[in-house]
Amino acid sequence: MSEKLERLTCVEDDPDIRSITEFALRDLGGFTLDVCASGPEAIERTPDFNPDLIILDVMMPGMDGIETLKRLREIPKLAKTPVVFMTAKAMKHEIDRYMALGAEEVIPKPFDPLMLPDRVGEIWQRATSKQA
Amino acid sequence: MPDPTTLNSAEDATVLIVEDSPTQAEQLRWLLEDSGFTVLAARDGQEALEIARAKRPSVIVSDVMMPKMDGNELCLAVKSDPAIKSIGVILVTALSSPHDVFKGLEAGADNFLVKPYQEEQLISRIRYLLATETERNARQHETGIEIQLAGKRHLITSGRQQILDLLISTYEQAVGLNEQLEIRQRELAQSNKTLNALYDLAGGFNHCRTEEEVAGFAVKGALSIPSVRAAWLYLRDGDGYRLAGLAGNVELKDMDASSGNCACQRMLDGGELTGTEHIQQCECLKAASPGNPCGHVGIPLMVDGAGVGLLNLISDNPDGSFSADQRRMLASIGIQIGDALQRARFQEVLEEKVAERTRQLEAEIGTRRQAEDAADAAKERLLDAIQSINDGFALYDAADTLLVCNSGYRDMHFAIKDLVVPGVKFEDLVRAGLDCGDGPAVSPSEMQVDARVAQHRQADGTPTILNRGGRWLMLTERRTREGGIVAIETDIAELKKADIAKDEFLAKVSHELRTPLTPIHGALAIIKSGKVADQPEKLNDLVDMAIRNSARLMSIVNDLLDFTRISSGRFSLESGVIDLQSLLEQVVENKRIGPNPPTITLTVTPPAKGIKLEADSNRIQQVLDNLLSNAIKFTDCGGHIEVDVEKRKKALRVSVVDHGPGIPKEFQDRAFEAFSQADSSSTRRQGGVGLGLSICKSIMEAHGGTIGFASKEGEGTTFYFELPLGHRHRVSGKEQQCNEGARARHGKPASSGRRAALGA
Repeated sequence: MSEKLERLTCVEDDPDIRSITEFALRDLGGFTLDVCASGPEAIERTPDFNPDLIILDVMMPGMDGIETLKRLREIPKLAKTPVVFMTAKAMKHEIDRYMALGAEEVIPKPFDPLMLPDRVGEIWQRATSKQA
Repeated sequence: MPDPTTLNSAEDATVLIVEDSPTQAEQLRWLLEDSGFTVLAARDGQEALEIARAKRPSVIVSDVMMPKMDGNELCLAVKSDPAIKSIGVILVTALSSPHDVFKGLEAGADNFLVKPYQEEQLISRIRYLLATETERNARQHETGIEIQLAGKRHLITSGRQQILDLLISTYEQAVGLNEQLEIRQRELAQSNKTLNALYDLAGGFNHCRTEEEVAGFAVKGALSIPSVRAAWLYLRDGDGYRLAGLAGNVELKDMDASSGNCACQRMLDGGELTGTEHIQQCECLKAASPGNPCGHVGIPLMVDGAGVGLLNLISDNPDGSFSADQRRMLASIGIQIGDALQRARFQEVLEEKVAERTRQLEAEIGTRRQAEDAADAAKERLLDAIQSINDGFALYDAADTLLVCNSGYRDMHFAIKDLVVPGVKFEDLVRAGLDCGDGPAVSPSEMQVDARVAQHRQADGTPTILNRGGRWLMLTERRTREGGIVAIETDIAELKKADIAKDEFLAKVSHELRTPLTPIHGALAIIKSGKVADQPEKLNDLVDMAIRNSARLMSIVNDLLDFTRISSGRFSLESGVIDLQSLLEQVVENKRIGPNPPTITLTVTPPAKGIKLEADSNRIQQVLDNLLSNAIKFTDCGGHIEVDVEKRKKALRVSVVDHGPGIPKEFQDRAFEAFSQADSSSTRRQGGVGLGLSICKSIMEAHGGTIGFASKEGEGTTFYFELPLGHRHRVSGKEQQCNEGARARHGKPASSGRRAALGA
């Protein structure tokens, strides 16, 4: 585990939301960001990219965020990587479900791109201190 | 024996009567003097002996039983005295025992007369003695004969003549007695017949129910009394009388009021007719026929001491009269008829009262039955009505016992259906229901039972939602005026389903609205931060992004509005004559704009060219736009889509053909249902609330057209719609609302492109 949050993977199918997220985390936050348009793409690239934290959309065609999370967890080196769900499906019972699946935090859409880097940083800090 | 009629006349004969009873002595004297004898009388034997010695009568007629000297002693004294022994002695004896006879014979009596005797017998004996006087006196005393009788010795010195006389006398006596017996027997038979007739009458009256029956029966019965030739009966009628019955051989003149009453009626009116009377001169009999006897017997008929009528009888005697004995017997008929009349009157009054009461009761029963029938019918109607409602209905009495319930109520207590019958206690139902798992807890407690019963008893009419055995119900309980409780249970499964669907719909809508909102909000936030102020190209991209997603948002909102209108029945068309071909060309052209558009080919078969039809052009565009958007969604970049228009028999068919993955079989049935998407999980390829096809279907139905598809997985899908030719569909008055919706949708720039696609 790095001392500082540097590498992020973001999985999002909507191109416009992808653009906003990229601007927020790469341009504003200065993180090293790998953006995937689908679950399979993430499963293929993430082990090599080896991020400090993974951000997942839930509603995606083909393979949804939950399935993607399960598959990523099956990869040993990603088994403990903190995962954040960023979704428009963020009603109380849905959040409970994501947390039960092992999510570190849920960020509801729409989100504020200017605040996103700090938010992600805090979450990472919390997860790291918990693991330590 | 000499014939008594040829004997000497009695004129010179003197007869001595010896009799201690002065009355009988006087009767005898009267009889004998009447027959021409000279009569002497003595009260006892002593006196007689003195008179006999002094007056020398021809014959002594002596009683036997007398004081001082009885008849036998007198006879013995006479026969022992030579001076008077020639006097004939007749002993009048009761002949109660043979000793009397022998005593008389011993005493030397010349003749005997047995009591009771006929007067003629006495006269003939006296005359006989007088006639045979010489003969008797010439006779020598014969030697006595000793006779043993009943342990007593009698010495009879009487001559043969004496004994013969005694035998003759006895024989005559017997003959006389026999004659009397026969008369008595005849009389007895007559009396018997009379009594039988009276008895029959008395018995027969019991069956008479009216005065007329009594009268008729009385005269017929009277006729069966021996020697009654005719009978008729008058009953008092106002001031006069009416003839109520007539039987037998008599003619009667009708005695109406004008002719006045006849003798018998006058007597009854005057209170003179108290018993059975012989009425000598009867006007009605005389007036009727000269052959009638002139009199009759009148018998008063008394009721409560008042004469109410009379029974008149005539006998078969020429004068119509009856003997005193007969009249006595007949008197009883009057009493019988009187009683019968009283009974009949009472009976008539009673029957009338009974009939009246019966009529009243029948009327009451009729009214009551009508009321009962009406009540029954009303009850039936009510029960039918209760039975026919879908809701569960139950009525409990004040003691919480089930009185009535419908099948709906039983259905809602499915687990304990057999227990739900009138007579069951509410508490028992609750307990049984909870035991069967109707309640939330696995093992129900008495506390739960108590709570439910308490809620039930409160019965304040507040609706309660409850889940019984997995079934959602709304329960309302209310007190009736009688203190019972009416329970109404409504199955709210559909409401509950709708409730859940609404929640799901809201969740879906919320997500669908948030998805385009995210880039809008994000883009605007970045622009506002000024972080891209120096990058015009980036700034432009962000503005485009905001506009594009706003259009997407608008499209979703429009779909929602359309759907709401369709659901609430406020959906209508704004029809006009349209040129379908040019309309379709426009839609297709719009779809060709945008990044990486597919190749869309529009083919119109010759007969369909230039056809105009009546339709809502905006709505038809909406349908084709939707079908094309769906096709584009499932078509890879550079793929082909065909739009074909062809004229069918009575319709124009527009088909949109893609070569995408096709519609999964399991989804095909639900393709046109609202909120349905082939992939309802979070993995659908394209966003949307799943209303597009549902809206298209409603639009086509409003046009009187149809919509459908054919799809093969892996090969593609053909969606088509058909618009009828020459069909004028309904245009509602709510065009305004629809127009606004249509303007809102189509007033937007065409560049909204594929991003504005509706959900499949």
